[in-house]
Amino acid sequence: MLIRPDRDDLQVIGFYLGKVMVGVGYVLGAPMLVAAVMGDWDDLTAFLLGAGLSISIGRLAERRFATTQQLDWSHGLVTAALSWLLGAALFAVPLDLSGHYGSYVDAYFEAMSGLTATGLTLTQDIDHMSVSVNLLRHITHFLGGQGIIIVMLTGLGSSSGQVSTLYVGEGRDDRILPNVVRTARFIYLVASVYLVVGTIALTLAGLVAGFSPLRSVIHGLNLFMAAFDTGGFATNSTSISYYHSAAIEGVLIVLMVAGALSFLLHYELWRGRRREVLENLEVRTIAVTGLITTSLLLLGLARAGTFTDVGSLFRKGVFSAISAHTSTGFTVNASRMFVTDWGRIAPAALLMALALGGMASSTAGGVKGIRVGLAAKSVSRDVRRAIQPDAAVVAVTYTQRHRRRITDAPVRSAITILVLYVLLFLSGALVGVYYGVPFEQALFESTSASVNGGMSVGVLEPGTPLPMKLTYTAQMWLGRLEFMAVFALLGYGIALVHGRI
Amino acid sequence: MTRRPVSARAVGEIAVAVVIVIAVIVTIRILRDSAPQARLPHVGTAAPDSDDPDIVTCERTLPDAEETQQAIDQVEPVGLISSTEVLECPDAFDQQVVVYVGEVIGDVLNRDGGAWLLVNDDDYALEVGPLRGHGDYRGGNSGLAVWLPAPLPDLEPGRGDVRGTVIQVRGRIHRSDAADGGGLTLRALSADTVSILREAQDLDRPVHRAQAVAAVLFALLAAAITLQARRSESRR
Amino acid sequence: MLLRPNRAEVFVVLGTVGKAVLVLGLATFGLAAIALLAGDVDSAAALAIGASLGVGAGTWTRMHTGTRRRLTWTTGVVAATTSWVACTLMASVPLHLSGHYASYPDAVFEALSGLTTTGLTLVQDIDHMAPAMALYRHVLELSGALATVVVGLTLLTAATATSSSLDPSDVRDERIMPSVRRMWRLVGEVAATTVGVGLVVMSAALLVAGVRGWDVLVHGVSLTISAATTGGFALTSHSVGFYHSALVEIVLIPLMLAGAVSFTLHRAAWRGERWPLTRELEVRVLLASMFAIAVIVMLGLGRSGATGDVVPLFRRGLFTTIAAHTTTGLHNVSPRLLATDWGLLAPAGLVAAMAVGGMTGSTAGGLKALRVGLIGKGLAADVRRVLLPEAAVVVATFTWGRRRKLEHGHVRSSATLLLILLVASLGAATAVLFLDSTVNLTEALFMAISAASNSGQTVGTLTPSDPVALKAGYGLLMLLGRLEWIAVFATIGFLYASLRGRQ
Repeated sequence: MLIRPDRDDLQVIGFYLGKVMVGVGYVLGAPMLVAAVMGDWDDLTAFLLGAGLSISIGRLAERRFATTQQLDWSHGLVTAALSWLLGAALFAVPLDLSGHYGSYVDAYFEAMSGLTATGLTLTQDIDHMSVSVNLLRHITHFLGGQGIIIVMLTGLGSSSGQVSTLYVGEGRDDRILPNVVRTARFIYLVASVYLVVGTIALTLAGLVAGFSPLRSVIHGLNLFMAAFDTGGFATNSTSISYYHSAAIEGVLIVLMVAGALSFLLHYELWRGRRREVLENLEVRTIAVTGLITTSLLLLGLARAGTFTDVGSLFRKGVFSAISAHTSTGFTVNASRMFVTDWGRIAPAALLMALALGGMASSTAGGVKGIRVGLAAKSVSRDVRRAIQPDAAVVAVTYTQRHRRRITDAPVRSAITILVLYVLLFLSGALVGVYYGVPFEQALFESTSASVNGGMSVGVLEPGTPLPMKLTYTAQMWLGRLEFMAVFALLGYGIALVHGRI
Repeated sequence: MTRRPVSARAVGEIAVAVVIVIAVIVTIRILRDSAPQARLPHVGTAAPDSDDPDIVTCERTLPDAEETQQAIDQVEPVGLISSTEVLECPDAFDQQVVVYVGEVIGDVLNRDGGAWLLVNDDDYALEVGPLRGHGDYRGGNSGLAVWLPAPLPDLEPGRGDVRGTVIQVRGRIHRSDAADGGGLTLRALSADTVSILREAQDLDRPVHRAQAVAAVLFALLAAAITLQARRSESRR
Repeated sequence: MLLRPNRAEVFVVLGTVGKAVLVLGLATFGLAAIALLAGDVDSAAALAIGASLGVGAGTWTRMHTGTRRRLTWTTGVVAATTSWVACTLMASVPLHLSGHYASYPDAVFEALSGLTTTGLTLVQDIDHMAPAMALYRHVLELSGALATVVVGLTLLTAATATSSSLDPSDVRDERIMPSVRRMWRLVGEVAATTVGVGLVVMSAALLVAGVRGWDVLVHGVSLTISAATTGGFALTSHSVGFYHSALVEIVLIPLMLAGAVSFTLHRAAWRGERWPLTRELEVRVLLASMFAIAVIVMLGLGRSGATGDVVPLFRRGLFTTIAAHTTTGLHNVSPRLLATDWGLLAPAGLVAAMAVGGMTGSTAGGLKALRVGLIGKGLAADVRRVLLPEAAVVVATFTWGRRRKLEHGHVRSSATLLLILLVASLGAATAVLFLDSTVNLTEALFMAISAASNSGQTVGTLTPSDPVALKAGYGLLMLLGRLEWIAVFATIGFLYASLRGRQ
């Protein structure tokens, strides 16, 4: 039996949503400044309009729902789920006004793709997009990417013993710093350091690749946000193959991997505990799955004869594998070539890498290494128990900051979420199939959306039927929030109507 | 703490809020669709339409041909091709000499005694011009990576409100270009096989006045609400 | 670090396997005698050869492995897996001798398909197969079905459904019968009654459909066993479509459902207990799932326009849905049409139906309705836990025989099996793509799920000319699915321990 949420509950949710909306408004200031410098007046007014709208609604909500009540975690989950929905709606306003989207739905898709760090795009004529609007797309990556870490890490991921198990099976003791504000600060400190170093490195690489100084900075900043937040938007239609530069690809690989590392790991590294990297279950799992998918990918490419020399095979293959496994979605070839030139094994390997994804509490998507690791450990425990029931207790342990014993509760939630992901992949593929897309391609696109990957085999384009676009939008949202927040929102809705008072 | 049920008034408020939001969205739609337009004259393709490419099969038929410097001038191109054809059948076009027409996009990457270009041959490049100028939606972009050896002609790439230089290139398609780390490229046979068909052009759109007015109104509204909130806060 | 099994453990496993092969050998002898009476000397000889092998090997093994040890969970599971393999090898001999199989691996595949009540077939020119040999395939289905119910009730279901883990020490439960021997008798009684009643009704239906003479009995036995064991073999290449009779199809539906209903419910009905059916989680899930999938399949059929009128649509849609959901594999449309004419939505619905499968403790395969229900309940509990205040304790319950508390272990073990099923099917489907270039991923996925859920529905891509690796893959999936994965894993572990374990 659910308890019907009362006014206080709605009030606190409304209040924090208001804050989020005001935040969106302020964020629009950055591209506005760029538009002013570049002299793109229409873009400037579009941002101003979006900012005015966001701040007005946000402030009104803040006042109407003013409260001193604290968020408990059911509020937190509902707020997170709604934040992504509303945030995308607000960011979609200036995007829609930019005139690069066929409809508001397309612009909403784009904003959701940005905020969920997915990277699928419905932009039309992106090659003639103004610098400021393009910057906004990449800023949504940075905002959504860092935002989801805070949500996972502070609000929901570990502050409460009960809910934590729903996510990754980590215990209460995983809070890296005592409170939300300090954690958020630490996250933004790390992100800022990466921002400065990464952008400088990319700018230098851009200069070497032949860009003019100003254009190197623009490309460098955008690339950084798309890579570090494992997003996958790009400033031009040809993604990373636009740059023809091994140096840029190298820097991007480092940034993508950094983005796919969990923040706990960043914290341990920050404090100089390197041992954690070697012992952490999630790191080990991803090392294994990464090795397998990359080898399979290279094997497939070699078999299909896609590349004529070994250097190219490794450069394109390894970059693509890492881009997929970190759920970034950068490509170094035209999307259609996955279908027309990559054979059958290599795309399947990419699909596997996409589905597996990065680490929990990072900006990466996918089913996450910890879940795969826990599931594998659990199955091995089952088998051992089955063989040797008489051996008193079969203890299987793993390391995640410290040594833990496998118990049913975390394994249950890990596997439940894994199953939900697989079902989401398949159901999304069915929608594509319904509209006549070959199953293989529909599955790839659906998986890419669900895991916030952003690689595409060319199924998604502005002319795609509306229900498919809406399906992918919902998948990106569900995948980013890892189901539970969305279910909580639905449960809230049900409780509002049917709950016990 | 006593539990307070959600009142009917709150539900009414939410309904009003939803109506307002819808009204705002409609306004934005109208604004977007009323953007001033400055359609560029039809560019058209550079070659006659009858000059269709000969290659239509998707089978890998050609052995990798050796490129010799003196053979360049004797090579007859198979015809004018489009980037989508090449991407659909990369094998069939591998090592073929082709003619390609398109708009230079984004940046000219000057290096290594030449330059890398992104050359688009989609509708925005060749037919209707940059999307912002007309709102005639033609889907995504499509183009090929092109290598031009020095000396380069004077190129202004397309971006934002600029339609870039439209060039014609005679060159060889490399499905997997080892010198580019395996990318699909079109290498111009020599600097002479590149010609400019059309100079770059600025869009010169007039400012969208209605949108500007709406933006200022919203900004003022936001400022007013914020100030009012500040004041009532400080009074408390 | 594994302990090497001791001599007594190995002996008790081998003794059980010997008994299984012996019993199947005796049954084969029985059929050989009938074939001889019917004047079919060739079939009788082939069957007798196989039977002698079985009886001989079984008796020899039992003579040399005398032990008083009782089966434990592990040895039971190992014995079950080994028995299935041994019986398959024995049963493949008469099938191979019949000359209807292109190679010995094909005959092994057929025997395994029968014994796991799957119903995928590699037989060639079945329309000219001798009746005795054709019926032998149904004998295999019947033997496999009985064994499935007994093994399921004693070893498999108990482990996943009643305990919080696969820990065998938790297996003891009030619903498990005291002895395996008694269990065999009870299962046999129920099966005999079901098949007996079914045979009478089916014969009548066949007479109406225009079948005459001895054929009524032969076809009646075939259809009844095939449906009630959720097997899916048939006497003709057109399966149920051969009879062009709505009546036959209507009689088959309750038989297939009977096969997919758990033995416990059968027993309750048998004893005349008024079981609170609607409270049983499994019943609810099965009904809901069947209804939903039937609607999807019919929607898909309507959209694809494969069947013109409403009545044929209903008839084909409903029969195929139930056949798939009970993992039977009988069909009243040509299988190839599923791929070429049914669109994509309807086959997708069938895949879901096969994956869900029937109830625990039945002859049906698939994940089982109980597990689907447990996963759903677990999810609902998770959501409720999220929404309630932190101090609140969420207790979820489910009814399986009696009301039980939903524990982490229930959800974990059920979800693990679902995950294994999904991942293995996707993996197998991908592998199929490389082995057979004429198949697309959709068809491959359909076939992989069909094999792994012991369903036997087919889209007509499995042919005798396929590479052996492909057949071996499907065969492995059938065995893994039948023994619910963990039993096979345990057997592999047991073998490994026998070789490498610590003394």
